[in-house]
Amino acid sequence: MKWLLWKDFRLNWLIIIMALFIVVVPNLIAVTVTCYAKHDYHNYNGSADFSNTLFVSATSSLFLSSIVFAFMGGNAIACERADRSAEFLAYLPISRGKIITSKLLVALLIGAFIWIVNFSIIGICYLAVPQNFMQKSSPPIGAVTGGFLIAGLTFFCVTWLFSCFMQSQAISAGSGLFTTLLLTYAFAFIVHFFIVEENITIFWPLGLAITLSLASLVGGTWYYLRRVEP
Amino acid sequence: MTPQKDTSPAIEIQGLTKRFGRTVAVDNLSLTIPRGSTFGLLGPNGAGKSTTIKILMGILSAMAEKLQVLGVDVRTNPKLVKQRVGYVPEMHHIYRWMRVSEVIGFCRSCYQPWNDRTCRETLDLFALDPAKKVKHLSKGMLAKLSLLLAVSHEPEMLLLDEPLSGLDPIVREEFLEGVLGTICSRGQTVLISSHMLDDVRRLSDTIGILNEGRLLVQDNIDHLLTTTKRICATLKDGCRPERPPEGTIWQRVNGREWIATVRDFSPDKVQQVSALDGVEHVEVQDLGLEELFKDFIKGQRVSK
Repeated sequence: MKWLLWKDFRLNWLIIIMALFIVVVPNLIAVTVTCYAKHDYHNYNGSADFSNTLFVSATSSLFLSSIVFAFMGGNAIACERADRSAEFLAYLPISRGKIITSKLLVALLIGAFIWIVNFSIIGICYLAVPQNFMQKSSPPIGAVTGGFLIAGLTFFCVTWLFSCFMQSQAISAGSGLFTTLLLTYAFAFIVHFFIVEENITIFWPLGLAITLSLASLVGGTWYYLRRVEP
Repeated sequence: MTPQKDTSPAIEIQGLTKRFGRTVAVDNLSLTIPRGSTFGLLGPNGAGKSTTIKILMGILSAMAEKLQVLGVDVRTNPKLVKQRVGYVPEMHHIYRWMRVSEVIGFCRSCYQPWNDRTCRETLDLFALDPAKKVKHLSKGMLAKLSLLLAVSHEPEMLLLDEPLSGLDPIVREEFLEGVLGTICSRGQTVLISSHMLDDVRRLSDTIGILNEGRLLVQDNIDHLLTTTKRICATLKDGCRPERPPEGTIWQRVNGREWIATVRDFSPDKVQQVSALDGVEHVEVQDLGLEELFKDFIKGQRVSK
């Protein structure tokens, strides 16, 4: 399992760099901007402004991480089919269960890194600094960040499904992104024009995301485990 | 109590059929290879050799009445088969970004028994640089690395799918030495598919000729060569051959020359041909493996 994990980390190195970039760059910009404002902006409001800027950067990082998740899902299985190294893996005595567990673990670790860093920044800013705009924001901060987290997960699961079928990681990621957005807009259209109950309009995005994610993850994994060919 | 030795054949296939869409790659193939033998699977391009080997390795799905490798059903337990079989594919798709030492480490972690000594010895024999990246290896080096990975877990059987194609004579020789070394030291069963008939002749004790997914013949190579002969008859002017002798696999009439390749040859067959009206002179020729292979393939094409 150790070697499988190493191999999957190595296969995802571009995505890891992308994740690092998405986590580091927005927050680094926020810190730089705040430092600059501290010296040059006479209305600078100390730690409250600093925390607000960091909140925006961490939330932007979470928003952008959806793309990382889409690429991660699309890359998972299709990348080894694209360069045909899946054929090499196929004649080694490794169970499909182990292969898929390793890929999911790597995705989880990359995802956990993005989430832990950004949620820590948001959490610290939220709790440690009084009177910042996060505490007054509408929709509530939890809904915004939670929404990005669920969007990331949905993108990952749908692109994962495509990756289980396809031979190109780019097409898998693109198709997964397109399908998720198409379904979301189609469902939003139906809800907006045909369903009037307010409860449904509040909960439909969450319901759709969970259903779509679960169905895609389970469907893709089931197909990959049953398939004999690499 | 002594442990019972498994006496099941190394490979037992019955009624194997594989289709790719409308194309039939393997057509109702039945084949039995006993343990300890070296079997050469011959056939032209697209005959179904690689497909059959991939099915035996559990990499491709197929329909079959029986599909057993070393007594294990490939369809129900492919992992066990992969554990006990060494495979050298035609195309090497080893991770290109890995170093040779990393590929070895990766494979070592996958196989339960892994003989470091065999691995080191083969590495030295093939002069492979462990620090070199796979993408920087030549085709010959890749084939050698593939063989190293296939033999280092001391498999009970080797499946070699066109391992010599595209290799220069020196690398081919080194590769064959590696295979022969393994066969001699451990008495493994080997199934090799190749176009290099001389090399197959050198390695194999039994051959099978496959064409369009069908097995045309399976026999001991020496027996097949001694019992398959070419009968060359000279016909009288304006005469045509009446009927070919029994067991003819291929025949050709070119002017007054009538050539027939015959299986299960016996002197009776020469007399049979000599007795025919219009036959002036009869001669018997021995066949090499290449001529025999060609005649079987041409014979099947004509009979279609």
